Amino acid sequence: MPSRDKAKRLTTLALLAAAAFVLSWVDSLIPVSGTLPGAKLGLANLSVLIGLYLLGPLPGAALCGLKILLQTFLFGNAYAFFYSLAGGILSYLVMLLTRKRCSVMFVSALGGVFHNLGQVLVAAVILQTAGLMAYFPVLMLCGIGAGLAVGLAGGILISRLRSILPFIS
Amino acid sequence: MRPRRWEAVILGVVILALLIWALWPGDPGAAVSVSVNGQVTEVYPLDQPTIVSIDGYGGFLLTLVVSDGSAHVEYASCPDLICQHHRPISSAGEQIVCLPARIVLTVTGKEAGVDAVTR
Repeated sequence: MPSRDKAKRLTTLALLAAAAFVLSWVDSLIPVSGTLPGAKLGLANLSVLIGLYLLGPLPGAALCGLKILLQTFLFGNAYAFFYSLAGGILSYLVMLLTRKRCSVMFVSALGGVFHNLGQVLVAAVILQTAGLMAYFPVLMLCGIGAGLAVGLAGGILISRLRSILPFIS
Repeated sequence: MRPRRWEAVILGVVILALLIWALWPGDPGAAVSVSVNGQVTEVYPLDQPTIVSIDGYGGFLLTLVVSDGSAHVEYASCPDLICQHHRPISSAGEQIVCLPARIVLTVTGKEAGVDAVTR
């Protein structure tokens, strides 16, 4: 890869990181009440999704890590760290594994579902309770809904960015 | 980009199942059990009005109020206040969770057992 393309990819990653910053902030402004803490719209996942598709697994993971750090230390409570971490990692792994076989919207919906699943699992470990069952269906529905919305926006952005950024595969 | 047919079918079935699960009417509850850090500490019958303070993990305090057959959190000293804003719970299986204080309030049914937890 020519070093010029490398610089362009790095710049794209930096722009996506900046977008993740803003979207994490917007996420923190919109409360999703009645569910577990840490439940958000997940708009920041838009950045992660685009990074994963356009730049590849490693830059996507970097964006995902950045999103978790922002959510924990800038826009959230520090005690929610393990919830964000588990949700973020699980969701990213699922999106990574399914991205070539499924549509962007479906991948994003899976990401949303597994993000919330990760959080429920951590809550089960920390609270030493098997059942947070009353919250489970609502959380899954929120994950699917938010994931589909983010996936719709992400799909449009990914195809448009591909056509205007020729250095991206 | 748009979901393929098999993806849409999976999503539709899962959403429908989750909706039915979420909206399924619960049996009327008999009591509310308080669990702190995984240990059930107290059980209060729903037909007796009660106001109690619960010591949670990390020094957080919750005030549990039982009245008119339902339970809710009147006051919480935790940072997010999600449990305080939660609507009152009265059907078996309903829960209020305070993650910072590690407190789980669960309504149990007439026969306290498996049916009380699964909804």
